[in-house]
Amino acid sequence: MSQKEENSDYLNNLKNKIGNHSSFEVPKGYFDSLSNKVGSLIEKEALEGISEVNSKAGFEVPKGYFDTLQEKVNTKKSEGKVIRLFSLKSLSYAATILAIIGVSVFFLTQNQETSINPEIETRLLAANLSNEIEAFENIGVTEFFDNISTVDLALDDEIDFEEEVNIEEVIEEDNVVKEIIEEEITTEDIDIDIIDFSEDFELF
Amino acid sequence: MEVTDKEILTLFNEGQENLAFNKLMQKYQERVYWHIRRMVLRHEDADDVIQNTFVKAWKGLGNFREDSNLYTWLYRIATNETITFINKNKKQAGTSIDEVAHILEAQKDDHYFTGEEIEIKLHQALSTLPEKQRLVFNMKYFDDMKYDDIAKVVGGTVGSLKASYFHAVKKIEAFVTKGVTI
Repeated sequence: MSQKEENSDYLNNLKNKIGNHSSFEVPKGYFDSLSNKVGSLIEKEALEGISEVNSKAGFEVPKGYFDTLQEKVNTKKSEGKVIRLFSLKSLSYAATILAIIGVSVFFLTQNQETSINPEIETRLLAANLSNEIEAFENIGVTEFFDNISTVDLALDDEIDFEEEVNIEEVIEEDNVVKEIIEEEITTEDIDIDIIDFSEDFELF
Repeated sequence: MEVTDKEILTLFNEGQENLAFNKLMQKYQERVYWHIRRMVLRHEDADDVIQNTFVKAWKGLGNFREDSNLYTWLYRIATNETITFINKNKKQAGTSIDEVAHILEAQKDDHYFTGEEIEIKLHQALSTLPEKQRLVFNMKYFDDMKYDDIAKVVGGTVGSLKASYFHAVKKIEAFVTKGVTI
């Protein structure tokens, strides 16, 4: 059935008279300038987003921190040049491993009345460490993609996300995501330690 | 020759996002504007809503799937923005018959509406329809859209949309010929 057949005579006559826009008007040159207006809005939003991310990124500092920072730096400068033996990244890995081992030793010694063969204990620690690291890595990746989903959901009403997202493809195609994840979970030294421990398993 | 949706999306995916977006706006801004304007009536309100619509489109264009249609996708964003606007501004959006007449008369003063009494009556009749029915009527009556495409914008089956349009026509007819709402 055509639209004309669906309409009453009144509506058909009216349509012939008023056309598709009814009798609404717009200011002269409105559509010539609309894309510039939208462009400015987008640029403004983008700049606001960038300045917000750059300025704080969600972190806070103690009150008055920046008032005393210059003084602190000057004091350090006058103490002489500090030579860093390890990179901060290496130190953070080492600190994480030590903390996990420490906590594991604490719980193992608290919960077990009988003494354990030191080598078994080492293996248990290694297994525990491996689980901890795996959990840490998985949480990191999951949270990252949770955040992406949150952004996408803002437009969920407009976009029909019927296709499931293949996480591996996303990582492969998105260099930024790839770099973040690689930086977060590449811990070659730790992996080597774990492999070494498991190779000794046959001894028992 | 008018740029195709595929050309717009290719430009966007090749990193020429701004050029692609400009072409998208040039192609669709007027159609999308009238879709909004017929719902909100005032030019100033339509101007706000269309800007929000295209800002959302810009943000979502990277996620746009090529098996969809840019035209209906934009209409859907515009519809959501329009309904959001109307819900936020119930008092201004012409919820009563008298308010519609008042808004249109005021638009006449600014030369943003040049319709005669019969058209004011049509818009008054439209204001008596539920929002979804009004959207369906507008897209069918003014835009000559296919029911398949209307379904992509507001949801529903083709059958339900046909019924909705039929009811809208009957209600409008009753209002303009007999002055009654049914």
